[in-house]
Formats: sequence, structure tokens, C-alpha cells
Amino acid sequence: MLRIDIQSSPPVVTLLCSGRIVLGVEAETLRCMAEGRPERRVVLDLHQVHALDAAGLGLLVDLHCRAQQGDRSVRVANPSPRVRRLLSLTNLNSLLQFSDLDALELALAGERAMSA
Amino acid sequence: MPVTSESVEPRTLAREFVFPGTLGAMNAARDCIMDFIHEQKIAEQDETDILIALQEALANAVLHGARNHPEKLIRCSVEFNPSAITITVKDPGEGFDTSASTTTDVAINLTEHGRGMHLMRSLVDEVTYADHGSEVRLKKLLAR
Repeated sequence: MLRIDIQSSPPVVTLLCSGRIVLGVEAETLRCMAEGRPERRVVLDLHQVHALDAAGLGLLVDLHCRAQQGDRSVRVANPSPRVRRLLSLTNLNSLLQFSDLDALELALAGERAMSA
Repeated sequence: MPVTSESVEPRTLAREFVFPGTLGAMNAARDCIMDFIHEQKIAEQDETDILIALQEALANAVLHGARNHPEKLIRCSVEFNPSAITITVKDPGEGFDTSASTTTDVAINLTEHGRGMHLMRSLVDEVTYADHGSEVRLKKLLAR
């Protein structure tokens, strides 16, 4: 099961994910949610994610690459230790540039101020 | 609900699960299998590693072996003893070229696919194939 709570503060939206991001309904739900948001900056908070399989990892890469092609961004924040380990095992930690949410919020707040 | 059978010996516990080769059935079966493994009270990190490796093995069996067909059955046996858990997943497919899955290193992969086998090898201690790849055996040594 995957639960997604939404915190929107244009141009940024944070999707707080809880549960599993795995092959099937969970991964497709997150894909639809992330791709369907109107905000240009999507932050995936994975603090409460306790399982992530190859399909979930592939989804994160696909969302990241598609966003880059469309002048948008998808970033991972606050990965749980389990998620952090899986990202590291698959060499995706540097690609997805995950960070603590506080640091990311500061950067995004600066971006909001610039665009205001 | 998967069909199960069980045998008990002094230090070994085994259970077999059989389920239709669809994603929906796979999710239910995975949860049943993990409930069984959780009952053995192994270390949390071991349980998490097994969950992800099992998920990959079952997903391969459903997507490539059974091709998401409800009339094709997938069999999964779990054998537990105090030092290790061994999981065998058998699908009805023709298998694949297992030599293509022997790479132990993975570069940054910018595609959506191709991480499942690497994850399995990283998270359990042994991954072996039989029947031309239609059967995969995962062995995880337990920390206790």
C-alpha cells in the first residue's frame, strides 16, 4: 500500500509518500500523481517509504529524466535508511540528488522568492 | 489466497505457496509469504532485504514466466532454519539466458528497467538458477 499526502506551494509541490513503492498499483499511482501536478518542481519525500523495488527505482529515474526534458524537476528528499541503501546499491544516489528536506526547502524558498 | 502446505521438523520449517501468475495474485502471495517469514522473528534488516529480493523474483516470474496469465501457476517454497532462509520461485515459462545476469557491478542506469537481478544479488547471499532460468533460488544467511 502507498499513501501520498500533497503539500502544494507553487511552483513547488511535495508529495509525502508512506508505504511501498513497488511494481503495480503503487508505482503507477505515484507516476500519475507526479506527472499530473501543475507545479514545475516536484519533491518526493520518501521518509516514510519502507520498501522500494526495481520498478519503484525505475519510476524515480523515469520521472527525473522526463522532468528534465520538460524544464521541470523531480527530486528525492528525506529518503528513509532503507531507501537510501537501495539508491546507493543501484548507484542512483548521485543521479537523484537526494537531500534533507530542510535544506531542500531552503533552496526552494529561495527559488520561490526569485520567481515572485 | 495462495494454496499452502507445511512440514515441520525439529529445526527446519518449510512452506509452499502456489498462486496464479498475475500481478494482483502476486501481491497477495508476497504478503502471505512475508507474514510467514515475519513469524520467524528474524532481524529487521534481513526481513527487508528478503522482501525486496522476493519481490523481484516474483515479479520476474509473473511478467516473464507467466506473462500475467491467471491460468499459469507460480510456485514458491520457503525453507527456514535458524541460520538461513531459502526461497525458491518456479514459473511456467521457458526461462532466459542466465549468463546475461552474472554481472556484479552496475553503472548509473538511466533507463527504467534492468535493476531487478542486481538488487537480488545485492540483498541475498546466493542467487542460483535452474531449469534454464525458470526457477530461481534465493538464500539469505540470517544475522540473528
